[in-house]
Amino acid sequence: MNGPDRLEWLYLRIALVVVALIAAADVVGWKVHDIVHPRPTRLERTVFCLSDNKGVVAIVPAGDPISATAGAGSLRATIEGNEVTVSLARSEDEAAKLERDYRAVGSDLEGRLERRRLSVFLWQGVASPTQRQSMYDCQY
Amino acid sequence: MRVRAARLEGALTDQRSKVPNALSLVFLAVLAVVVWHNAFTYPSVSGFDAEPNIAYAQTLVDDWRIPTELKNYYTPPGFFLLSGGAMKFGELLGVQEPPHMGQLLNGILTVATAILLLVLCAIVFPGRPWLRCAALGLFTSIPVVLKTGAMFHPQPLVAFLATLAIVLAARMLKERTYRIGAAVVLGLVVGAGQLVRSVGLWTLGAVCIALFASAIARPAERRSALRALVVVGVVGVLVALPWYVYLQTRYSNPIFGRTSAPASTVALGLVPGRSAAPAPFRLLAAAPLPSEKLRFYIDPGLPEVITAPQRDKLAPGFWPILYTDTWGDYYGIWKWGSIQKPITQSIENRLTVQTVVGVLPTLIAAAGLFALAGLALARLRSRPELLLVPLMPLIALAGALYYAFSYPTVDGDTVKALFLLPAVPALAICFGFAVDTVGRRSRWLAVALAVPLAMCLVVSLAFGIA
Repeated sequence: MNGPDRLEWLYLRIALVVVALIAAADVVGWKVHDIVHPRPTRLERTVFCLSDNKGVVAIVPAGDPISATAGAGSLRATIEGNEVTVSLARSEDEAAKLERDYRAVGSDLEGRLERRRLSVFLWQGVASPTQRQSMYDCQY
Repeated sequence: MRVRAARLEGALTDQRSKVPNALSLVFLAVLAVVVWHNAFTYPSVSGFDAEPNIAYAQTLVDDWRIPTELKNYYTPPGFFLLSGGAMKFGELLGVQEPPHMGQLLNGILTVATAILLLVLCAIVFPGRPWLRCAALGLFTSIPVVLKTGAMFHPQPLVAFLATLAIVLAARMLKERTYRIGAAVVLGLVVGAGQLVRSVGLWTLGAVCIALFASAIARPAERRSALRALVVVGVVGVLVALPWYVYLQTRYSNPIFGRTSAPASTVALGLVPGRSAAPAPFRLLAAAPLPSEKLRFYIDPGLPEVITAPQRDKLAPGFWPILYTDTWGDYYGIWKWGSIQKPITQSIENRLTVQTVVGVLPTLIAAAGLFALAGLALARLRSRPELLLVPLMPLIALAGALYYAFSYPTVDGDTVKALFLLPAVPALAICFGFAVDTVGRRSRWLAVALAVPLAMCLVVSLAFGIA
């Protein structure tokens, strides 16, 4: 190995140590910060997304008795003139239960009720694709 | 005797270069095929801001005006002029979806950038074919290049112009010929980049810093280097000046064309008729946006960055978004995200694979970046052109951090991997440098590194096919 190669190898080894140190420092800093300041909730992120990206004002909590049982919270918003109640479940089972509860008390829910992963959407009228897409964009 | 020895060495070098050169050609061919396929397969409306981008291009070539009514009104018209022309050409040819011609233009620009990457390697690291090959291998397979190359988006054009500027600057610094004509051409290219996207400014910064550093390190060439620096700076700014004046006079911001709205002023609970909103609602309204918090910049996103690297589950964070958008599909614009393509468990698993395969190349590229930065400073006098390579990614990262902090959004939308696209060729060289340095140290180490790297890059290349 000649001189220039040796210098490059030296710099590369130092750089690998620097990368490892940065990664370790970041993880430690993050853990400390996480303990001091808890993460934003899904509900917070959804409300801000609707406000910031869609210009939609959300009302928290949604106010109906079924959505009030959602473990991660609920909200109400109007997308393109169609009001939607969003219930945020903590698990797939809870989301399924919320959907069942809505079906048990609601009449014609075709095109109005949708369960998507941990979120349950109940639209006042049949939701259009663009209305649904707006909510998907802010689903966490 | 000496002549024979030199010939023998030359023949051996040629022999040693055969495999990496052939591999580089294969990479170029694969890239060309993939971008061609993607241009006509990836839906025109699926990319970032695709609809306003297409509308901008149409308005520009049909009405000859900047569409101030569109949300991308602050984007310079450079790309839209070219892509609008390409769409017109497509209409003449009878192409069913003319926006595909804009995407094809981006595909061609991506291949041209790859060729410039090879040229840059030859200037900065002559006689190191494996470095060239590894750099091109990364550039060809990294999803951010393939995804952006398939979109109707200005970024591939600004990446091409940035790489061209770096090639011209590297040649100038290496040959120590700071001719006025060459400086004017370099200034024109740098200025043209700013007429495509504001990130073109990074290139101006990198070129000017490298020229200034060269002037400091080489007293004998100080006058000519400083003269070239002034010419590049003046021409580079003059070319884009009309656009900056337009944004300043119309929107009071010459670079971004808009002012940032601090999130904490968004008072959701205080809109008319909502003053009696319940307490949790008011608490939410008072919270700052993610990128206004320290967490945004230090959160590594664990464990979701591995288990669920997509925006539904991974909370916004600067590094997790940058990483998962570079190697995967954080925002859902490539493999998922529309009503037709909702996220499923199998897609999420594929995104997880992308997170995993990106780790090794990213660590190597990062190590190469730091090593090259140190080496460039150590050899500033003898090889000032080296400085250009680490400068581009470092300036790009600083720009991305500034943008994320100055323009906060709820979902980290102002952090996207494609913002760093102009720096990807330089980052690929950092990667190639690290791989080649390891390979020159030990053949066994080279094989031990090359096998997993090749697997990672092949998996990523497959992800980048629309």
